[in-house]
Amino acid sequence: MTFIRRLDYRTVAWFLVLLLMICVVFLPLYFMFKYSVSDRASIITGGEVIPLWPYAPTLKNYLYILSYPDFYRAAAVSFKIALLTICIAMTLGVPAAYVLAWYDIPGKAVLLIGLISIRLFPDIVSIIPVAVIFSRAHLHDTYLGGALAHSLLALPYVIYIAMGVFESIPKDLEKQAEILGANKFYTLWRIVLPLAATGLAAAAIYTFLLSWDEFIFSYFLLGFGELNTLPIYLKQKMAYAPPQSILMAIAMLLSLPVIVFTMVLQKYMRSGLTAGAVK
Amino acid sequence: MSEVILKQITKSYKEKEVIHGIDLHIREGEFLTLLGPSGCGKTTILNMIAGLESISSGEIHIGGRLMNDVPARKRNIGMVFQSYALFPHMTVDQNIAFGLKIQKLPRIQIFEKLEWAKELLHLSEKGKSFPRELSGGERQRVALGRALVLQPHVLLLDEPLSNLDQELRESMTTELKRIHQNVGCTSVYVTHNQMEALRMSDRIAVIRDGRLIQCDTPMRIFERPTTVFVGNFIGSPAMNQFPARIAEAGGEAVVTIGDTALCMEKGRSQALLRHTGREVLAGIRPQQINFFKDREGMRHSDTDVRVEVQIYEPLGERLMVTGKFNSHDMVFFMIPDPEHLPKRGDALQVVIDGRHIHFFDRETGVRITDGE
Amino acid sequence: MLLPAFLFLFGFLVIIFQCLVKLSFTYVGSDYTEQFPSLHNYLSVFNAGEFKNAFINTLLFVIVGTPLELVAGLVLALVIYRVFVLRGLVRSIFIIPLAIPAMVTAIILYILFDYPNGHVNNLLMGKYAIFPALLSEPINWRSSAVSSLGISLVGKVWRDMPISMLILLAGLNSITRDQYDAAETMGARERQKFMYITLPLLLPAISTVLVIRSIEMWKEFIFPYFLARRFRLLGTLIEELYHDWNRGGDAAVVALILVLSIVACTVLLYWALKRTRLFLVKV
Repeated sequence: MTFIRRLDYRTVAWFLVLLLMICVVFLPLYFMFKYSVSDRASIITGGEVIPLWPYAPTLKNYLYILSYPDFYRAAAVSFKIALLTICIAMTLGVPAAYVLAWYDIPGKAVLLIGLISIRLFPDIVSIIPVAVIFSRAHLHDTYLGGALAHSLLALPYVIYIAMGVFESIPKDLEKQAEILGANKFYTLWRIVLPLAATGLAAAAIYTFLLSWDEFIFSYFLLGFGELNTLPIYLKQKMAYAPPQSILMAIAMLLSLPVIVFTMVLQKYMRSGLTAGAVK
Repeated sequence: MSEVILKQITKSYKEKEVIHGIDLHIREGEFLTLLGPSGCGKTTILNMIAGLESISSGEIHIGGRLMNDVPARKRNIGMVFQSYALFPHMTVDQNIAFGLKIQKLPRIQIFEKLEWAKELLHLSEKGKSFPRELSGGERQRVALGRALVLQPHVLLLDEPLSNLDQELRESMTTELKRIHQNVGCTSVYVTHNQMEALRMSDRIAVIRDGRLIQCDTPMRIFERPTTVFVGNFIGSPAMNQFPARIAEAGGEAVVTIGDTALCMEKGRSQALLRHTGREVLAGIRPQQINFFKDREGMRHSDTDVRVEVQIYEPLGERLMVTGKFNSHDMVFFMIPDPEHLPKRGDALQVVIDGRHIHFFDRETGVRITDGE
Repeated sequence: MLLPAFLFLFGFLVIIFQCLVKLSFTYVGSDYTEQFPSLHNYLSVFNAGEFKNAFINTLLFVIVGTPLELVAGLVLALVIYRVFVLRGLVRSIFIIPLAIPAMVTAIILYILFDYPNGHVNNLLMGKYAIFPALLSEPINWRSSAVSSLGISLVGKVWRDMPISMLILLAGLNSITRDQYDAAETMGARERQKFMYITLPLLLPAISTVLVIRSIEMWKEFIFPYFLARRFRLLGTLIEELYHDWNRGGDAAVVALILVLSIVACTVLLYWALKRTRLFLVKV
């Protein structure tokens, strides 16, 4: 009897914490969504008191944003830079990950530690030298420049995720293919890449997301020219002090692809995010 | 189908030699097993034959051709891995035909060979299945088929049965033997399971610490182990070992364990005469110790000894008894009278068959030849 | 195949470092003449109160924020660890903050803590029936260092707690049921099980979280950039010097100090954690 009561009390406490944490996670999102569908009156007064819901929910804000070409232009810039980033980061990162995962090369540990320690370098610190280099190389305000900068951020993650993918493919498969007469290239093309495809796609999408919502590099390398990515667009809009509903609608449009893909790909992203946890 | 010759092959990893000069002649069509405890280097030897690992020195000939520098894919060998290494994204058909496709055979020929392999391995129904849809035994057969379809010079098998459950393993052992008899391909089989080795092999090569200890037919290896190690490793339960002395009495050698003298045939005890005075190990297999209810059938070479029962373990039709003999453990089997099961502390009379006692040097563990 | 990626990464790293060092020793006078080498930038940075403030703010940010992230991650991880049904779903929910771009999180907080009519002010002033009035005047959250940096910290911890959670969860999952069962057969209570099994076995994961998160705290830029414009961290100070004041040399000095601080802090933390682990094992 006492045992059951104790168990109950524990379970209830745990359940309350669970609910609380779910609220903590959802509350900011709720407000983002709430503002994005708010009518004017709700913004000023805060809307219906409980549960802080707009008087007259409206999609007007979204329609307003979507009726302006500069939003599309920013989205297109973001998209192009993200695709270019994928190309650069994957071309550089995947072969490196393959070698690191499958071959016992000298100094492997040092390379991996180096890869982690790149994260010691704050983005904002890199900005000044990168800006200097870019202006010398005329990469300022170009798609390539933006993509190169984003690749710098994405590359360690790509290498880590792709390494995990390659490591999950049994080496016996490669040996078997060799014994059956396949050369290295054939094995890579017919055995390794097909098996790695899903995981590599995940790495690519992760790269996309990283580039899509990257702010610091974009802002300082591209922000003063013609090429505005979505985050910069949002920042610039902020400067004009628009209604909060408009800001939040842009924020929603910016976040939505990230949320969706993160949910779908979390299995792969976890390996990239917790990389370095293995020391 | 061809013979495989290993000449003094060694393998070193960074100065450290792990395989020490193996000489092995695997005959055409033979089924040879590399048997040894885990970590003894048997898989390394297999990988060196396959070409997956380089050899540090020595020569490997397959089918009369020196293979030292030939890459694995050009050696024309078949290999079955412990993990089966089936390509998970390909169907059974695609898996089996993989090597044929690389050889760029005409479609019709690929098809014929595919059907032949599937027929041989009872996989005809499974052609369109993916590996994840197959049972363990079926995966095993696909891996085998994929190797055999190329008609390799040598078939290498790396503990192929160790991932199967006990029952399936039993039937696959027989199945493998049947397939080998059908195909007749020179085969090298790696295992640490002595029962598999004894049941399937034409010859067994016992490996220990990167050295070849003995290579012989299963029966010979069982009956005439050249070292204590082989004697212990092969046969279950392990051989009983007793420290013994060889002395001389009346023109014959007398071997004593403690104060018990062992009876032997005349010829054998005479042959041992030249080892008079040596301290040896007497190895007696549990199977050679009999529990007799009466003395009628006793031979001249049988020794009658007293054993005090310590533990007994029922194995179904018989008991495995561990007893004390001259303060040493002695394991033997008996078919008990259900009315009178032995108890701990009981004294039993057992008979040691003197024809099958093995003598080894106590220091080196090498068999003492006694004229046979 | 390895070369291009690492050449790109380490090449950039070397160039960045070299560029920073050179910049930090180059003094640009008011007449745009360059002087190299010169310690002028270092002296001007060290003598300015802004730098001292920013450094102390950042240090506090790290000291307060890192344990906070650990606790947040630990709570989430322990909550998930007890979930038996829909575990995947609960974990997905807890990962969501990570999917929100940092700047969006910052802007949401910016709006919520707005003056005078943000939701938080309204709530505290009793404008909503669910909550009693605690204030008579709305607070201008962005006008004080404590509250503005505090809000940045809350945003940072909120957004990044899934990372700590995932690392700790991996650590928790490496502890097998058997180990708890074994302890239970030896008569351990819940609390003892936590003290003697969970905590020691989780220590490597905790160390990882502390090291990685403290680095991130030092590096923080976006949240204070949006939420605490008047009170700087080292990150925002660099931006301000470089961008608003056009003093690249000073910015490079601060940047170098930031990098050195991170390295020093990481080494120190690593050493301390190693000692702690040894100490715990000894007992």
